[in-house]
Amino acid sequence: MLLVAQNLTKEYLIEKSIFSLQTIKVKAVNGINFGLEKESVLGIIGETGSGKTTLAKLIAKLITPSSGQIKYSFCDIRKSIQIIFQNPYNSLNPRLKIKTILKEPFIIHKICSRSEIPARINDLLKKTKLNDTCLDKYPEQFSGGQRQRIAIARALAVQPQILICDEPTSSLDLSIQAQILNLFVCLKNELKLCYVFISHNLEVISFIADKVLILYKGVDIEKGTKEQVFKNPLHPYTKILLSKDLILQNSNLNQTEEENILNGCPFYNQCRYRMKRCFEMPQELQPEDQHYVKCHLYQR
Amino acid sequence: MKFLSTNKSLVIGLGLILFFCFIAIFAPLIAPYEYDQIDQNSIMQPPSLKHPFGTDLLGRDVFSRMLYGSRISLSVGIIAVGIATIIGVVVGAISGYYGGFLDWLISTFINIMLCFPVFFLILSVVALLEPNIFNIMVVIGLTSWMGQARLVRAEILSLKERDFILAAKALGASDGRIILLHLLPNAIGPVIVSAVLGIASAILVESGLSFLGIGIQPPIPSWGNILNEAKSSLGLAWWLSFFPGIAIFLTIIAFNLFAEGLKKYLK
Amino acid sequence: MNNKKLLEVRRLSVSIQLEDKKIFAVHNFELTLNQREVLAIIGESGCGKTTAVQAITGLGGKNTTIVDGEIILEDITFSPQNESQMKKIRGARISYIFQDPTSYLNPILTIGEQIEEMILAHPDVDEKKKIDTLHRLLELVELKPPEKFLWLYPHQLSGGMNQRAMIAMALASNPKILIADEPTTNLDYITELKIIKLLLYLKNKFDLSIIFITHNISLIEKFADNIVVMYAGRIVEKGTKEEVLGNPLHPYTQGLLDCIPKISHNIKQLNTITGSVPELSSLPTGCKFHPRCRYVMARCLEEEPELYKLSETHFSRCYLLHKI
Repeated sequence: MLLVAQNLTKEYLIEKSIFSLQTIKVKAVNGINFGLEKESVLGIIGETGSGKTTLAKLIAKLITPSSGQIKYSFCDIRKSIQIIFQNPYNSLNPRLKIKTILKEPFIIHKICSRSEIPARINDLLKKTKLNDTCLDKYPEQFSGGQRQRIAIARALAVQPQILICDEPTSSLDLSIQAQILNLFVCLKNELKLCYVFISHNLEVISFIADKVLILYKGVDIEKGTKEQVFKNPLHPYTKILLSKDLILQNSNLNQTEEENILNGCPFYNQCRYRMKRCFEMPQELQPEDQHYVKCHLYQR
Repeated sequence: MKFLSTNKSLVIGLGLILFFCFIAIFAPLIAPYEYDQIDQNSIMQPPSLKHPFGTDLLGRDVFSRMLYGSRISLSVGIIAVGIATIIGVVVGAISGYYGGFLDWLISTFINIMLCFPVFFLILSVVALLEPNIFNIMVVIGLTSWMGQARLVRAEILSLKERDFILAAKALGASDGRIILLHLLPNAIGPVIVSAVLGIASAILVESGLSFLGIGIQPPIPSWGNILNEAKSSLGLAWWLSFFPGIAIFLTIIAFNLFAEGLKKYLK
Repeated sequence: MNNKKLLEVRRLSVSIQLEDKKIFAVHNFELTLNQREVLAIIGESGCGKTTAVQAITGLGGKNTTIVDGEIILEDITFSPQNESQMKKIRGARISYIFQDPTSYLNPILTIGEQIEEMILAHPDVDEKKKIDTLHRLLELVELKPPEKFLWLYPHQLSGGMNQRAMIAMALASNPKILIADEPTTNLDYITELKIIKLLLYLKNKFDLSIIFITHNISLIEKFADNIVVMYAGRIVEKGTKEEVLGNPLHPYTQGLLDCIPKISHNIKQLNTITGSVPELSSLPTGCKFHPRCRYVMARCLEEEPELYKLSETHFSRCYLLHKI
């Protein structure tokens, strides 16, 4: 295992208003457990509000958890884990030329001698299928897809073991998305990388992931291999995601009318199977080998 | 040429500034007389061919004094703002980047400093110290850094959350590297515009101090102290107040135009 | 199902003045829309879909010029260049829903005030009935109880609720056609489903037609009747959902549908379309897709193909369909 997350939780304090002293704690990430194996891809399916970006930052150690921990099997986090962001227009410093952006990891970590840097950069450009004419240009001169390639090249400079990809293709056009996804697969095979690939798009996850984790409002409601989760979804939310039609029975249209269940199942308000038991957060259950779910329906 | 038409303010402002800089640098070569050359036969003469801007109470050539005076105004403006900007950028960057208690402390300090009526503060300090050009530069610099600090802090607060900063942190860049290489170059735009406007303001402060008699002391000429000498003869010797007045006016306009043009250009 | 023809757009061409050049963002855009029809427009960045659709509504930046075009709405002809004519259509007959409701709603006005603005903009509504209309609209979009939601500000509502408020605003003037530009892209899946269900319900209740722009093929599968595919400012294929998704004719449509990953398709690499979308300022000669097309022939470089017909409803702008 490259890393193991145990009971990972991150809380944020949100003040109700300037006039009230009441502060509310929101758990962006709530008791998550998972492990990352060498050369595998963990696909995290999460949407806006699921806590996926908070989770990405926790894994990359850019923020610290409120409780729980992540155990890494390596020492130098900065050289072993890198992150690719969703918005290619925001992830490159607009004032720096590409060559400065790509030189930076080498300078920070003193990976090789100064004279070797240009050759290493050329190697990175080749891997990400970029032309070396890009070095003297600024980010604004590139399209979204090309900027993502530059971001990937920058991340690969430190030769990481794990690449966290936070919705890296969601802002790109469909045909460019295909190219970048293919690139991710190539790089994984060539460089023996491990990915934590976050997306709200099930099709993308089904293409690239080996294992899948479904994130809903900060809770890892279902985990398993790709085949298990896609062919035999257990959690009611997963079933909705995978269903082909528009049917949504018994769901409230108004969030404000939801009952406030502070420590219960996060899916309570949308769930057609909800019961009184769901006021309590479900334990993690294992209905089949390697396939986990947090839902009272599977409690014996 | 197209640049000229779409950036009129920038070009005109810069042109005027360069003009004043030129006369400041080459004042000794252009000036027909020394700034303290007394000619007792030509006291209080109106403008003429011999003295294009007239003469003052001691028979000194106003034109030459104006030329040397430009040196004072520009150097005080530029150096005072230089000091203010350096202090402001450092303070603002630290406050914005580290946040938390340090930010609160610095912001409160800035707010306290802003409560003081700056001109009176400068007046008091200058009255206590020896009124030489160095002291004036430093005092103006030390009392006008707050605006820059706030600007830098605001820019950094918003830039801090951008992905490329997170990426730099993930790469393992040190705080110093992030501030110097990534944050400041992106935050510097408004600071430069503010600095240019600050030069105009500093020139005005120095002229004001000299006008009141506690700035640059004669015989060293400053546009402000020429105006001071003009006080007593306002009705009679119009040339003593007109030329320094116009010069200050044009300089302020030049810097303001340049700042406007720069603001548009940097967008 | 014989629904009457509601909208016809003919020969719509729009140019945009950039700093130093003029580009044709939309060229010869034509479509017909029937009552109770849901039309999806798909295409990648720069294909002109937003420009075309905004031109139909009379929206458009100050640098856009409508070069040519005719809109026939319920048998009355409008000229999209005529601002006063377009004002009558916009909001009244055709309403527009934007992508990101939080950016398009005024943060300092309550939801009630903003919907009221829309009601008052089209003065055939009785002032006295205003409150009733407000309540009715909020109830329609399931923002219940309406008395409560009238007084709330956009920042107090979630993304989904804001989108529903925008739909209420769009309905305020009893339009015949709703145009939605990626209305659910920023919403989570369940909220997206709810919004789509709401739109379908409104369509059936009020005999509305809906044109929506999206890049989400699974959404189209669930929601649309007909599809229009755009590339480089032109329509390259149009037809019913079954025709376009089941039997894509144009090589671009084929390439596009091919490069989307599908669940339980165990493939190592996705198919891609070689090359990239051309700059609108330097389009290739002849067929705009020819540099990337695997079926390219000599003809394709010379002259741009027309929209050739496979069936009454299925068209493709490709010489493959036009054998001489």
